[in-house]
Amino acid sequence: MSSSTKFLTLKTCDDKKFVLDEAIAVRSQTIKNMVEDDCVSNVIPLPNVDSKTMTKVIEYWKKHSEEGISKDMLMDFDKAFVKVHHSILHALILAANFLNDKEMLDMMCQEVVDRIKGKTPEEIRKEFDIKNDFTPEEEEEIRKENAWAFE
Amino acid sequence: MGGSMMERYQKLGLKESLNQPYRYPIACDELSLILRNAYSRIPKNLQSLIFQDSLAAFGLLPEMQTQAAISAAHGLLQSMEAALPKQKKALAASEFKQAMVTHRRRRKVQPVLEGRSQLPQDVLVHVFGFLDLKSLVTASSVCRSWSVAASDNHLWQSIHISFFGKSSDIPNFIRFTNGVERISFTPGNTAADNVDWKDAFKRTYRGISKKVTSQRGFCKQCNSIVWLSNSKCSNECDGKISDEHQIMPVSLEQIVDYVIEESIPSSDSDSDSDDSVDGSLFKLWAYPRRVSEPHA
Repeated sequence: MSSSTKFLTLKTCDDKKFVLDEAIAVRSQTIKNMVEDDCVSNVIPLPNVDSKTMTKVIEYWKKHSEEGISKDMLMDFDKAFVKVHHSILHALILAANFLNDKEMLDMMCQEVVDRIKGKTPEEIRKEFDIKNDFTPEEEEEIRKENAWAFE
Repeated sequence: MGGSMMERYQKLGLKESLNQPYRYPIACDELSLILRNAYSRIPKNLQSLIFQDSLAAFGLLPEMQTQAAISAAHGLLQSMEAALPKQKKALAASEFKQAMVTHRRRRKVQPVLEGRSQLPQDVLVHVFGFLDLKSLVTASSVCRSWSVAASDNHLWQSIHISFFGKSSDIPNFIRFTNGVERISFTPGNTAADNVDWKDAFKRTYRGISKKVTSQRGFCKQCNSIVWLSNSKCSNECDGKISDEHQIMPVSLEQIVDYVIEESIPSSDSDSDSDDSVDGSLFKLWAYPRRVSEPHA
């Protein structure tokens, strides 16, 4: 712990402010760069992140910055953290991408991957609420074109 | 070297695998075959563990939303009915029935749609970089934007390398560090950029006679049966690139033989096929029967 704890104020796109220990906030490479380049006045705007998503991100950062937390506890936390509706999962991926937190981004992407694997296209569409925008002819053509991978 | 029968079974990690929807069907198939082929030959404590794991599989069935999971669980039930004594058989049947009822109920209760949110292309490509071959090809038939992302040239370049290694006819490759990771390019690496990697992969892949359809392999470094991810050990040991040669894909039958008799597919018998396909390909062990694929 540094002798004087510095705090940063983050402002999300819906104008909510979050005051956060700088040591925690710099898990975001984007924020870290801003701090290092000294272009932080008082408030850091996060135009691509809403407050609902930011609350989740901060929950994740705080848990991962806790002192003396065991690996098992973190694993359990992460497991529960990613079990959210796909719309929240998507928002978190976009936030982690913008904030440039690779560890978090990879974890969220892995969850998406786990939800894709072993499913049929129709099951994937259902999982992520995706509209099938192929015509039946196109779909048939793709099926033929992809057959090589399942031979 | 592999410890007791109990330890070898536990190292299969079936209980943990059942929690993951994409491994659930395979874990069920493995339980199923152990029950069918070996139940009467194994010690009592292992029998009871396998029985518990099978019941746990039924308990988890409602969480799985795939048809593959249902048919695998159904197969497991049939194996239990064939192998188990009367009382246990009855318990299994009632647990399965209960699971199916819950599964159907869950299906009907659809969460309220919160509006469609699509991931941007670059993020999709990043996500797809973690997929195995079959899942990636499946993803390409989900919708138009997924189809575009799943055809990304760099993506297919890394898959090409992960299957066939560094190819000599395409210069200036950068070796990537770990199984499914993306690769970085040096500036001016135009030769590799001009290749249609999906097409190149397709052609080379079609040419291999023995395709890796197994999702399980024996990893010499881990000294146990492990999950494969694009023919690499999915455990932490995949740091070294040379371990392409440490992995043997195994069939369902070989897994059962390994657990029961500790028989490991020998690597000696394979020395003659060292340079069968340009030498850079990982060694492939022939196995008697194909493991059924969930995509079939």
